[in-house]
Amino acid sequence: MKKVFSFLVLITIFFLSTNHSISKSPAALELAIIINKDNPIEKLSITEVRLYWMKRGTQKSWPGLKTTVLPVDRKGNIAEKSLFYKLVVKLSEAEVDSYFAAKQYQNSESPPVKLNSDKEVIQYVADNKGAIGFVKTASLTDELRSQVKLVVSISE
Amino acid sequence: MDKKYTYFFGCRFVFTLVFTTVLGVSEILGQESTSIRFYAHPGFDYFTNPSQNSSSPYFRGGPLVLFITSKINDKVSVAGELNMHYMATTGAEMELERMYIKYDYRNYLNFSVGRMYSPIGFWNVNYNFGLILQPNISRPRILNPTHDGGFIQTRDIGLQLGGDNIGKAGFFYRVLFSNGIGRNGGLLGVPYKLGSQLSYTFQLGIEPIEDLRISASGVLNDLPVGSLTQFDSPVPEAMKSTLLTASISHMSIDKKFEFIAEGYANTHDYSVQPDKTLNGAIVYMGYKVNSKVVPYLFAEFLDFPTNDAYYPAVNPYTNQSYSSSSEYNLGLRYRVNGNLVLKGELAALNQDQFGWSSGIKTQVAFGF
Repeated sequence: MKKVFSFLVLITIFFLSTNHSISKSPAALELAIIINKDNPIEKLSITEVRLYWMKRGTQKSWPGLKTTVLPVDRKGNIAEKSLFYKLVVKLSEAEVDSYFAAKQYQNSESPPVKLNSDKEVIQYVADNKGAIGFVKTASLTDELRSQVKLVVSISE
Repeated sequence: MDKKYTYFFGCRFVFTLVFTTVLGVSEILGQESTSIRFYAHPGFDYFTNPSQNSSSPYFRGGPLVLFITSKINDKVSVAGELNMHYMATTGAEMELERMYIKYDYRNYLNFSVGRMYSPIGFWNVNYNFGLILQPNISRPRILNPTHDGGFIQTRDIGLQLGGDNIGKAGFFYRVLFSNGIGRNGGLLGVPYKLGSQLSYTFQLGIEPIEDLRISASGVLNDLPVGSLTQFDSPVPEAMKSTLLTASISHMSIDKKFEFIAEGYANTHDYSVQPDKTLNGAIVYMGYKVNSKVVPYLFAEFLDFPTNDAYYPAVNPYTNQSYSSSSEYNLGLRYRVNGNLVLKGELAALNQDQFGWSSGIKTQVAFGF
């Protein structure tokens, strides 16, 4: 009986504790929106990121760079893509696909390049002046960060 | 028969040329931005017509449309669209809908050369054969291609200048210098028909808020004696054809309410006979219940001129006679995902020679 009582006390203390590892929520996903280092833009709001990434209105080319915006997307159903669509684009994947399919059909505008990994996205953005993409902030090591420009961070 | 044979194999040649050129360019330059898409939209219709004592269940196969785009570099892109379909009257056909190269200098100036949709209104340049993108099932009758019962020429070969998003009003324009009516059958752009005048098409518009587009367009054709119409028949006499259109549209990916309203007036100004005018209007309205479901209403009105010798008694491709009509469709569109859209419509159609028909239309539109 004493053992049972002790066990219940320990369990109660464990669950009331705010610092135990089981109740701790997983680290929130944080996205970094990156552009090419040569792009003179330093910061973008989330609304501006949306306009440029979707190439809406006059946001089809970068001011000061005179280069077409090249949005970069990720292949597959991954958490960072879902978060980007939810918080920045504010559309479902089907809507995004339809939107770019329409732009392509109507104006022969290319849809976003879809890449496999954060590393590929960083490399693509580093190699293309007009590129804008999203990666996990954790993927931006010091070495990789030096290759691109981070314009805004987004988290859940 | 010889002509059809030649045309068919000519199309095969063009198809091969388009395909290999785009792929070849892509391969050489290592472009990641070459995109090859196919579109198709089979469906099923069932109509009844009490006055004709007829009912007609009918499966529609629709065409298979190949659409290729590629960016040659940051400023230059190419597009090709090939429509492969089967017509009961003429058999298997391929038709080059578009093939152009475009140079984007700035937002206020771009150049396109090749075969393209005429910049008349909103509908003609935005939907056409990619019906997964079109909000309703059927193209407006007035914008149908000639081989599908159409009334006006909706594509042309030429040089187009254009610009978008100019100034705070979002001014946009298109100016197209083209071969014009009856001079677009020549494959690879070589006109084999008569007629010596270029056609001039202009479109001016504003987009004061995102996706609200208001525009006016005009197409001018001077057709001397001996010119051929788009139906392969000679014009009755020297004439001018003037198409004027007005359009207002709000089709946005992220707004609930969507609509398109367009008016068309195509006047045949004869040197001797009295002038004849074809009038048409289309109205589309839809409301996005959510990201997948959109109920909508589509209506079209067509006032066809009587005794206009420009038009053949029956369309040479469809064997259907021309007449005034009005059409009303109440529909529902369901987007399964970006590559598959299902549509269903309750339809009522009144044609001068047949009276009222009513029924259902369905469509499975997909891209892959």
